[in-house]
Amino acid sequence: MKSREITRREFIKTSALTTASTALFMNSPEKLFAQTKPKSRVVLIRDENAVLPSGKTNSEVIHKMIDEAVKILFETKDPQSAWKKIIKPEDVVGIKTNVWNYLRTPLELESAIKKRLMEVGVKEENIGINDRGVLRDPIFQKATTLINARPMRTHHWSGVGSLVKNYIMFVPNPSDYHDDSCADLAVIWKLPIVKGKTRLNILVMLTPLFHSVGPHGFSPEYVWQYKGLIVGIDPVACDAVGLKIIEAKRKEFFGEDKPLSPPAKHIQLSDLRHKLGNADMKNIELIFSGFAEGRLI
Amino acid sequence: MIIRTAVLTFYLLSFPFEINLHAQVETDLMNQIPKEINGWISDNDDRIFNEETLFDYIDGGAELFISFGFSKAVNRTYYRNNQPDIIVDVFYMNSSSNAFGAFSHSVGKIGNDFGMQSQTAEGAILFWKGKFYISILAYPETNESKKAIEQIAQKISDAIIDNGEFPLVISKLPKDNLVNESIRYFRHYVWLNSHGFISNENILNISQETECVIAQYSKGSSDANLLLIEYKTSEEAELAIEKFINGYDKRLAAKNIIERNDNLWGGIQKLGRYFVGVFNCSSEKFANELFSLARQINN
Repeated sequence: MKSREITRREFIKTSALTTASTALFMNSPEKLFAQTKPKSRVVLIRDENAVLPSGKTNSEVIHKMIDEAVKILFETKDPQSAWKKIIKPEDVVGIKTNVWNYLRTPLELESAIKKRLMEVGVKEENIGINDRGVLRDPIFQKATTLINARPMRTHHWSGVGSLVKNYIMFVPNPSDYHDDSCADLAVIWKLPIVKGKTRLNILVMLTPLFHSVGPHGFSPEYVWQYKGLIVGIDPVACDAVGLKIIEAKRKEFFGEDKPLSPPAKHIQLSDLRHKLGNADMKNIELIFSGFAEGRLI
Repeated sequence: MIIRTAVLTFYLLSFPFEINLHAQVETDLMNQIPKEINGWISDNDDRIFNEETLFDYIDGGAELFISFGFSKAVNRTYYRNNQPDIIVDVFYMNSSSNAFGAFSHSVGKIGNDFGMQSQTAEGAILFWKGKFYISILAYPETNESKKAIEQIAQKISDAIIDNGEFPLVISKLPKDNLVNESIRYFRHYVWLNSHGFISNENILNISQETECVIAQYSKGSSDANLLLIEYKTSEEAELAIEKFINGYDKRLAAKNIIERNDNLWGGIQKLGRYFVGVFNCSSEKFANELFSLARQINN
């Protein structure tokens, strides 16, 4: 993993490949997303005020965080320019959220995304936000573009609930993909309803769950305020970074290496077997923004 | 002859009672849980789930229970104004071993406040007793909800007459230096990596017919994981070991204990129909000690 701290206006210059790849992306996104090497660029942004003392999400801060993250990711001066790199006004956009009762995608993040989409020129009637109803949702059925946003949490069978796993609702029988502790979730990303459409992935790390207990998996005892978002084009790379944080938190809390059981092998296999993205931290360009205390990686 | 007749008569008379008592517990357990407690009321029908429908309720968490085997799960929810809902889930596992297994894989710190083993966390009580795995949630916790779920837990625990037993294979674990809280019982290969990576594949032919347990051992600065698998026959154990050696590390064909790339030690032994594996061991000496203790399995 190569990581750098950046100040507010200090962006990491990659090569001209960035400019070329952006052009390639807008014309032929499938080809770009099919490339697992070169490195995947991922932004980890944190803000001390992202979560209020009450535990609620700070809407204003979330809006600022996502704005800053996309600016860094796409190397633009303002968030609108960043969004214009991945969204066209004529797009039909599905925001794939996650409504798990105990730790859902914050509504504040959904509204922040929607706001920027509309500023780019996407009509409101062409924006849909859904989780379990995506297969019945006309927006998602005809979507040209997807934005994938969900919190990371531990999971009794897949190891973690991840960005890759978030697309399991695009299949009629999710349990069909549970085999071998959800090893091949990445296959879902090749289905026509989603293939090549995802423009942005946001792994919510505001209050992640790092250990599951009981049938529902949730206990506030195993949630902590990390106050971060992990943002990138590559879902596998974003998940790999999130997983590192979860593993580090488990080690810190339990005082020893406490591996996830079952392990979150679908993330690595998304790379090695399915070539969906980069799971190896050596192939991820991780850019930090925001406060460093408690970052764990 | 008289004694034999008496014993037989005693057995015939008691056996149907044993079945009826257990069936009565199974049938009546939900009936013995009050529908009202401290102002919380459950006035809806209980929801019942099976292997097919449990996914609709707890998503992928269902696989945990399916991997151990259960006949049904019953949910009852209690409501009270200005208080969190209390969610009671009762899993009818196929055996007390299964109840213990599911509990051991879904728990944090183990206590014994309720049932055979329990965990009490903020807004939650989990425990197993007999064939039952019980989960009671009320989040966000209030003083009132905490008291209410404790009362519900006690009533359920009291209603389950049969304590159940720990899986027999657990009694085969060497006792010296065993970290009791680390014991994980399973019959699905997915749980092989509970205490560190061994394999992503079913490298040991684990099935519902095998009894598996993995636990941590600690002695001074030495640590290790010990995996014990009981097969139905010695031949099955032999086949599994062959497969393991080919898939894990071929050096084990020649040596019982080897040093791995991460400077940790590991090894295997076959003891009749048992596979004994030591993994992530900090020293060769400690691995040898554990194998020496494990040899008592067949005593």
